[in-house]
Amino acid sequence: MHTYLPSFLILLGTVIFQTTIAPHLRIMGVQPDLILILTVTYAFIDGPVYGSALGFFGGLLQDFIIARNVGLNVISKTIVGYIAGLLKENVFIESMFLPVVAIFLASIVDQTIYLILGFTFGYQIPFKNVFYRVILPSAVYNSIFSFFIYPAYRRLIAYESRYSLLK
Amino acid sequence: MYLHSGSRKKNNITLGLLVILSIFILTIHFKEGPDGLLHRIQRVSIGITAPLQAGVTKIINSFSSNVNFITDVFNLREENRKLKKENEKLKHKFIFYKEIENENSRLRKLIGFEERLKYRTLPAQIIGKSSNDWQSSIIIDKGYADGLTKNMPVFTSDGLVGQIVQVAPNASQVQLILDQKSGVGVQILSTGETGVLQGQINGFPELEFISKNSEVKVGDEIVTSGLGGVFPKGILVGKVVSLRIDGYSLNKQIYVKPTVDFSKLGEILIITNPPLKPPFAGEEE
Repeated sequence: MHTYLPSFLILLGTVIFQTTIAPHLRIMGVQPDLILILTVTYAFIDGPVYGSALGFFGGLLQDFIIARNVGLNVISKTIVGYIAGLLKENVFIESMFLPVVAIFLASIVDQTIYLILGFTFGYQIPFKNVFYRVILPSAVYNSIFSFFIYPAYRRLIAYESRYSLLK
Repeated sequence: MYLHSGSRKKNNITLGLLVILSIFILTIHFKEGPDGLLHRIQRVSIGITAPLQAGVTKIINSFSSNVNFITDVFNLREENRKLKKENEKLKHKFIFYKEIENENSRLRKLIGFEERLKYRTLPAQIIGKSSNDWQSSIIIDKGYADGLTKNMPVFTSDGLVGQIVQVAPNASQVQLILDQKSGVGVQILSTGETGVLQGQINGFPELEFISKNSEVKVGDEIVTSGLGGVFPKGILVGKVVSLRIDGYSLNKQIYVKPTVDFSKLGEILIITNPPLKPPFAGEEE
């Protein structure tokens, strides 16, 4: 179980990182999505309810701080958090292989939902090349990045859970 | 399987509620005006997180400037040689342009034309950048406490950056010309034709509404046209990098490479007096 304040602080720190440092790590037009990786990590550990709730608030913070349309990230991250949470008992969280593959797939789902909603709300999406130009590179980048960041998040969340249980 | 039917039902209800709430937020934000509740919350969020972003950005900038200093030392001799050569060229150019300026001034007086428009500018630092691959915006460290308002144009010495779309007390959100929702009235310098520069996800905005009979060429410079009342006329925007005529289209498909390198944006300038009421030379700067 988690108390909500530490989770919120981890989330806020991640959102700040996402808006300040992540853009400097942009390669071939894509940047790592740490909020997605954090959502998936929480979902693996705590299941679909906490995963979707964290995705909801992560997307909301992300949208409020920098996005033009508030709500697009909220929906995509909520759904991704839920789906990743369904894998809870099937993911051996100490292993790296399955989480990295899951983050690759979660990234594709997240971007696809975002793209469809963005199109609905007036964004011009070049559907022809978008998979190869954005969705796939982004998924590859997120999964490579998760090699480094997933274990750190996992330890941070485990530490936070231990701290919460002691309280 | 992971879940019993009872907890699965509970999970589905949670997901359903969160998705409905998300769609509600998205719809309200899309429909409400800039003074709506969600827009106000957004401005407050930008204002609250701005100091945190500014702090982190300051650390990153000092780190990268130290790294740059080390690499710069190695390149100094070569750079010095280049600069001396460039300086010689510029001296010649300066004399040439001075003559043109004098001639221009004489001709303006002759036809009774007003002096060149002058705009007041305010410098600002970038403290945050868009957090996903679909939108292009930045957060700057100046807000309405510094006199900024929505729609003010933003540029650097290299060219146009974008316009302010949200203003908090101590920070503002700037929509870049790369953003798909950005549309800038522009002009092709060589032909004088005007069109709209529409942001694209690939970083090369598309110049729309240029006839397929246009004589525009790759390398032609694009500047703001001043039409639309947001951007003043004559700010450099970019250069044409590709041209195509699609079968039945009446217009050319033209892509432009912005002159601003958005990956290296640091300090930007904001025009604080809108072009709708242009101040003329002689006003305080």
